[in-house]
Amino acid sequence: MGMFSALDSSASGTKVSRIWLDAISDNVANVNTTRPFEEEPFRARLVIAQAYENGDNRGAMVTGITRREGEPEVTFDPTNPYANEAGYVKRPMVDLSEEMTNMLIAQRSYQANLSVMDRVRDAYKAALSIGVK
Amino acid sequence: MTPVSPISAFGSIQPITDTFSAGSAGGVGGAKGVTGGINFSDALAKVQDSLDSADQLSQQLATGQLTDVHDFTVAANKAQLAVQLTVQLRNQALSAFQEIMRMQI
Repeated sequence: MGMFSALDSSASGTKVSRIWLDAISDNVANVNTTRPFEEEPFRARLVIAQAYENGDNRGAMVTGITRREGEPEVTFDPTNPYANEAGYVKRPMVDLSEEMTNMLIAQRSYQANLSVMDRVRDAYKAALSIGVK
Repeated sequence: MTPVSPISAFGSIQPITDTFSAGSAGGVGGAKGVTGGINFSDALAKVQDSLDSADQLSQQLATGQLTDVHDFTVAANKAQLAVQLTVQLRNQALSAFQEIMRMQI
């Protein structure tokens, strides 16, 4: 293990949380966007995180981003320019309440990783002051 | 948004641990001197490396090329800790030397 491996692990966790927050912000931004009826609607991004171990380096990493599966909701909105002949519009595959919950988790996870970094730094600093008058 | 590439390891700062390994304590007539074989010039070069990488990241942050803000703060912290460790080693080695110089013969 390197000298700063705890810092590196926390940094990788922070990065995962940051990517998750990026994905959530994109999902929330597209909560109302529509596309022509024949096309695929916007599907929420789902971040896949994985534990990671490469020699001495440990932590978490994002291995990919998938899109939410399922049949999109269809609403009757004839004034929408993307409505089909019958007046129906496909809603984006984003659940706002779920996104907000995930946002809280991602934010706390980001903060938790930063908190670990803080404590690790304090510990290193305390070790450096051993025997200092 | 582009797909995310795997997290790269912080390669450049790792080897500091090996730098400070003190050699076997030189006995009477040993060539190690008071510092017990700590190679300070090597250590300083490694510390300079970590300072350089923090510098580089701060530049990327200022020019907007850095996607992860914490990459910079982590590198800056590593550099700071490395400098503090070096300074502590120097202080301790110097105080050991001075202790010996004060010895009455």
